Amino acid sequence: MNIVVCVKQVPDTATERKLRSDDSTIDRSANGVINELCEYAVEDALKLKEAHGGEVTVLTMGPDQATDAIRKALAMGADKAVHLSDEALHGSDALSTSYALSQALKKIGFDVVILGSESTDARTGMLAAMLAERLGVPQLTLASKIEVDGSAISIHRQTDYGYDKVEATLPAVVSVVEKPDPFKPRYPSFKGIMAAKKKPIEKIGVADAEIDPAQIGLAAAWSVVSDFTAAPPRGKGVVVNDEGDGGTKAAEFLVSKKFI
Amino acid sequence: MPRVPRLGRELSPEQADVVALARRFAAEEIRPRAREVDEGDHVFPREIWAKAAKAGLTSFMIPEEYGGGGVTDLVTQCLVQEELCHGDISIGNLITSGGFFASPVLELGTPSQRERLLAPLAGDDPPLTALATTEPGVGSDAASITTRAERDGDHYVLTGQKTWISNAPFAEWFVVFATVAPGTRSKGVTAFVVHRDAPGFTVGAPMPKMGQRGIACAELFLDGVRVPVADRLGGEGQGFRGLMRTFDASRVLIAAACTGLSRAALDVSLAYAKEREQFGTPIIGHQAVAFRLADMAAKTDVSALLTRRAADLYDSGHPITEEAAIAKLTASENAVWCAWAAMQTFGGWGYSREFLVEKWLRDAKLEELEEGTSDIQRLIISRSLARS
Repeated sequence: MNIVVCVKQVPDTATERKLRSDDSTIDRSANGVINELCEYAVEDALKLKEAHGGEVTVLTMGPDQATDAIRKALAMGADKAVHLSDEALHGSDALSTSYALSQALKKIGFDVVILGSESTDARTGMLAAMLAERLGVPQLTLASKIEVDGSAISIHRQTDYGYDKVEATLPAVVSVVEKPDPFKPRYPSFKGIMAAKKKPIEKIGVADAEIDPAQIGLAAAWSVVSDFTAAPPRGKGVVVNDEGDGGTKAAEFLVSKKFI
Repeated sequence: MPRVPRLGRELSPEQADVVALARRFAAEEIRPRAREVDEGDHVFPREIWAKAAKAGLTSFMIPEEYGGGGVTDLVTQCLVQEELCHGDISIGNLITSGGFFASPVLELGTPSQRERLLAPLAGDDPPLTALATTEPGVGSDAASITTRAERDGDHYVLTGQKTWISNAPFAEWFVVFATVAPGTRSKGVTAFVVHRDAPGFTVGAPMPKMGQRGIACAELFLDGVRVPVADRLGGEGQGFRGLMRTFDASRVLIAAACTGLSRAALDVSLAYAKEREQFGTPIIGHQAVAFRLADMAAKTDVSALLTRRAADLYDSGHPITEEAAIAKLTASENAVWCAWAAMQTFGGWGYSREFLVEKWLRDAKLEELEEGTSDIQRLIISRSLARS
């Protein structure tokens, strides 16, 4: 099975994240890490490969330093990577990103494409659906479990009442959600880390993927960030001294905020 | 965010990756279990060991040709050791304990012995191993080993007693040091590989300890244990050389472990001092507390830098007996001091078993004692000075 995992590098959520003052895009000069949900996507891809054979290819769109995220995915056990990197892609919104990735995916070829359901930076959560539309294949979104049987693919989608089982035929696009232990992404092993440096990373540009430059980048974006302000620092909380009525006061506070 | 000493050196991408792995493993798998493993007292934390093995953390120091992670340079080994021990020093020491067994095998063993003994350590379900030097009457003066190895045809017969053997209660394979020529000091010391099930080989009950309870220690009793000649590592009398080279590296690794513990002590103390308010201000605003934190940072960085220097020298093939002793002496005493300082910063809460600092103080103390006490390290350093 030919499995492609889309992996994104995002600014570390543990550090202060900023938008660039010149064009309001995300400041990617900060410490970049692999998007957490992408690690789940890699884990699910590796599990599919272990069960059904085949190959796992990592596809990343992003600047040069995104190779760190690629290497992480390779260290976890992916076989090879394609890095779509081009100045012209800077400022692409979700719609043009889905176009660029779909072009790259057509070039790579796939039976299944797996993505994290959203990234911690832009958090649109729309890419999987857009990608499936662009590619003309079924979308199986928000999967907590993936099963493949021949050309049939099914997922579990968590709901308030249990889960929905959603089925489709390959090829398909799947987006995955966070899962508890023991389904957490594996640690990249030492051997994996050492092996990763020998695995091929194919670097391609806009022309290689036959991407129309008019449909990508800041100029082609359908969404525009017109303004932004930094979040105000968190104020001091309300301190309630418990003089025997702490429980009541806490309950009154929760009622006033409509929590209860 | 944990504070990492800046050494003025860029890590290679691979080093950065393995350090990140060790750091994450320490934070997610080790630190949360530290208290429970301590309270369990000499219970082998099998699940942590298994998870660590799967990530390659128990065998990263074994060469690639035997299936290990191939991180054979001491610098990177120290970086990993430091991170694991930032999580918990006793669990960190447990995870990397295979390195102590592997070291004399690599130093003295033949290619076929290396393959046979090291490949299982890099497998999916690696056995615990142990290194047996110390005897009831033989501690710091390792050349005076009395455990006897007598040749009998194509076997040696081992008789004697070992004590304080880390991992012994659960280890499958042991490297046992014995002498083939009593009274000749280091000249007779020879290394043998002994399996736990060998007839005449008995492991005592786990020894009760003050700290580092994640590693169980026990006595070994050798009563006419027959060891095939094929399980002798190196020639007769070569054991002491293998032992000293092992100690040079292991002392630097202890220094790295101590750096990890010192960093952990500083991290929690700093966070607590910023959060805990007394007299209307976070206690870091009180100079008595703030200056102690400054001293912790200074000592922690000294430990890190001395560790790095010794590891760098080792990797470039230089003799490092003096520098390893300086690193081990300084880092272990700094670790005890930093754990003390952490407890002082936490005040009464530091004395509570709700926090880990009291445990770290107990754990740190071992490092001033094992692999040569601080007294012995000073002896090594001063002898080296006298020779110069």
